[in-house]
Amino acid sequence: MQSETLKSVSLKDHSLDSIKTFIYEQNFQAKQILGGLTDVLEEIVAYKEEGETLFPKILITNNIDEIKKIVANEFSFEIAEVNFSGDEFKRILKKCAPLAVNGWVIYFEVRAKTISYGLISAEVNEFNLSFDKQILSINSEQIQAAQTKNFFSDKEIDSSNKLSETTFIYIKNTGNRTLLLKGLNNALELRFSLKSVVNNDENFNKLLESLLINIEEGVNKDNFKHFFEKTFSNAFMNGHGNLIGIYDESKNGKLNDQIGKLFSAGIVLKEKIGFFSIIKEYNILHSEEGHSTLKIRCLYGLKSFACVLQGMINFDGISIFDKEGSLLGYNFFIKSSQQDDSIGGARSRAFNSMEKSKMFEAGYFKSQDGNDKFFKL
Amino acid sequence: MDNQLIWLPPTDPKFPVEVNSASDILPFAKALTTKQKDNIKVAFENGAYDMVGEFVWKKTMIRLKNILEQLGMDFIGEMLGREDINRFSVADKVLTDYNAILLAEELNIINSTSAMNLRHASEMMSHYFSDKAEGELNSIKCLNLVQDCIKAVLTESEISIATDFQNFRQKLLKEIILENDPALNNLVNSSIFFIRTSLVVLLNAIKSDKPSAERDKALQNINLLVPLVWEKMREEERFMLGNAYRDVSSAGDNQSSAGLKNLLTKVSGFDYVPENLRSNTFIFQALQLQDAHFEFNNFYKEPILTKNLASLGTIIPAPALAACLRAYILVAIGNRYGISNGAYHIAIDELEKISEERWRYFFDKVFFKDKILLSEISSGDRRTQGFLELFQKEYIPIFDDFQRPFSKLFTSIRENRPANIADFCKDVIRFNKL
Repeated sequence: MQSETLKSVSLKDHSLDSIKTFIYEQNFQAKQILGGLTDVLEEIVAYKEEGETLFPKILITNNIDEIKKIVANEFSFEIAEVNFSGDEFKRILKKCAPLAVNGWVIYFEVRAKTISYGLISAEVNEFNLSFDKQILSINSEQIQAAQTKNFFSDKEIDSSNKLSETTFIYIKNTGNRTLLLKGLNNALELRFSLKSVVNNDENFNKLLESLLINIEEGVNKDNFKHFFEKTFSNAFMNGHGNLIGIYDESKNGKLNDQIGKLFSAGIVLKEKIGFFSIIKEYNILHSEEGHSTLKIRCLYGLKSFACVLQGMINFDGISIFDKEGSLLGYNFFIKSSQQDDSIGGARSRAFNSMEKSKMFEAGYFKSQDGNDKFFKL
Repeated sequence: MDNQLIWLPPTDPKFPVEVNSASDILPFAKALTTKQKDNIKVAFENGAYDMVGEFVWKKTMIRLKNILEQLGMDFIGEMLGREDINRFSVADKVLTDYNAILLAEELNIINSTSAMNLRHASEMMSHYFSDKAEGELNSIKCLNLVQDCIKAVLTESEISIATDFQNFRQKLLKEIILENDPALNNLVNSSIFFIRTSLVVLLNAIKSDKPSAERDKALQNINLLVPLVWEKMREEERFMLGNAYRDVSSAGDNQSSAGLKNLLTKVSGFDYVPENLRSNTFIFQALQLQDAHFEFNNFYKEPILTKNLASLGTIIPAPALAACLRAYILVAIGNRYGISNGAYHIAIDELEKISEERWRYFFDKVFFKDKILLSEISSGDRRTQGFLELFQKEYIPIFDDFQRPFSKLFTSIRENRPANIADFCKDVIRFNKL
């Protein structure tokens, strides 16, 4: 029998050097956290708990108090402190991953001999700058500025166990089996996929621009953009694939009238949901005294609408908005043109039909494997 | 931007050197009608000094508060650090007499001599109309009160601060300040209250929903101004900046958040970003107590308000420390007429809970820039003595390692010299341009 040669190619071998270098560049000791970090990376690229896919975000730092100073509106709680023993990163992840939803991030504070861990967030409303957004924009200059002696602590700061020079590594799953590691000094993207994928927010940003095209510049528009960013990102996490269309009733007639023509079926809301007016109302009330009950009602209303919007976007079919970002309807199925010879799944074909129909101002498609496409009329 | 960024206080008009009766001074009261002046004259002649005092005082305070209202109540709220005051608030309802006088002095609507006289008048009125008063207002005290009120507020039929202030605000918001601008130099070397005014104007613009071009100018100007005045800024102004950063991040305002984060990086000011909202509650209660201390019937109001503040929690959140300690010390030292017995012990209990490290922070960062406390302690009366006793009874530690000139305070305390303490506090107010 001929002897066979077996060539073994390991993703780990190819990426370990990059990971080690990355750790050094963030001023961490690779020896200390390399094992734990690779465990975490391996887990979160496709984390499942009880059959459900989760996308926990993780912050590894040597000084959580300094990070908290820079992040506005943060709130957090420590869960426990454990000794460094080998697989504690993995065990901590297992204990915390189901909790790391709705803006909560798991933090590991790496000390000389122990790790303390807990959860941190900055979600105070549907449109504020989230913890994720803020941590991604922290740089070393800000960390240095935050490292001043703290006169204010309500409790004794035990600095004996802390390492010097605050640093951090923030890890998130950006889809398409890709992990982003953002450190104090630079960032690293790890792709656990053999497909060549361009993983960026370009198409998503174009969708947001189109949704807000008729909204006046200002704080209200910023709020609205963040609201959609958060809501859509949360919705896309469940990974079934999504179709979104922007339709102009003043140009193409009432959406209802298109059932049977452009669409084979669809649910048209009797009254469109105007998210922008809720945000505007909140901002007006925000500056007025004596309306705190209304302000709170506004915020809770927005939160409730965000939940239902996520549900609608994840429905089969197309979710349709107008040019002011109001939701007109969902669960629309477009009639495909007979000349459609495109390949791909049903969603992909529906997206192509949307574009060919010339009846949509813009369209966005997010596939199950995380790719996305966008068109504008 | 021209040199005249800030405006100067009015000079006293020419009054007769000797004032022996109401008739000598009433002609100068252009803000009163002829009928009102006649009535005052008659009441004075009939010995109704209480009525004269009350009427003139009320007119003075209403007028002063109306002048302040011209600046916008949201601005006034920010200046006082009061989140409960906004543009819909009515000045007469939400501003105490003490705060109105304080603000008027800070904003150069009245000069510091007038402010001092009005404060004395306010204390006197609170005392004589309280249940604790023994005796009534006499002719000399009444005449002094009328004279001080007329000189300070009632001489002009029109005082328009609004134009000056609007010009000031326009310049800060519509123009980009350049580094070598003489007006900037003027502002940087002005009193802390003009600096605070500038900060309030700029931060209000940054937090507003104005177009991004306007907010951008405000962000550029604040990024230039604050590093130049950071050392001068008191803890309250620094926390104001930190609060604003929290607020714009909460509002999802990318541009303003990035701009203020940039500023906090330059001045290493992240310690002043508040951790949570608890501090707001403490500050609100402390300010309520402080207001009550300077108002009518304070001895009866102080106990419940002191208790309310104390019941909020044993650990005072860092951003609220200055306001709370100020309130407790004011209660403990009382006013020129005495202390509130019901509130005194509660305040002392709270002061005793403060750690030495926090006291060190208080004297290092807060006390020597706190005009309210310094003014009270510089009185030279029972308040100065009360302050000294806080150290003698070891409610507050004495620090021997502070550098000159601030070490003089602790030396005077050790040597049991209240007069020196009072003089020193006066010097600090002058030295720090408070």
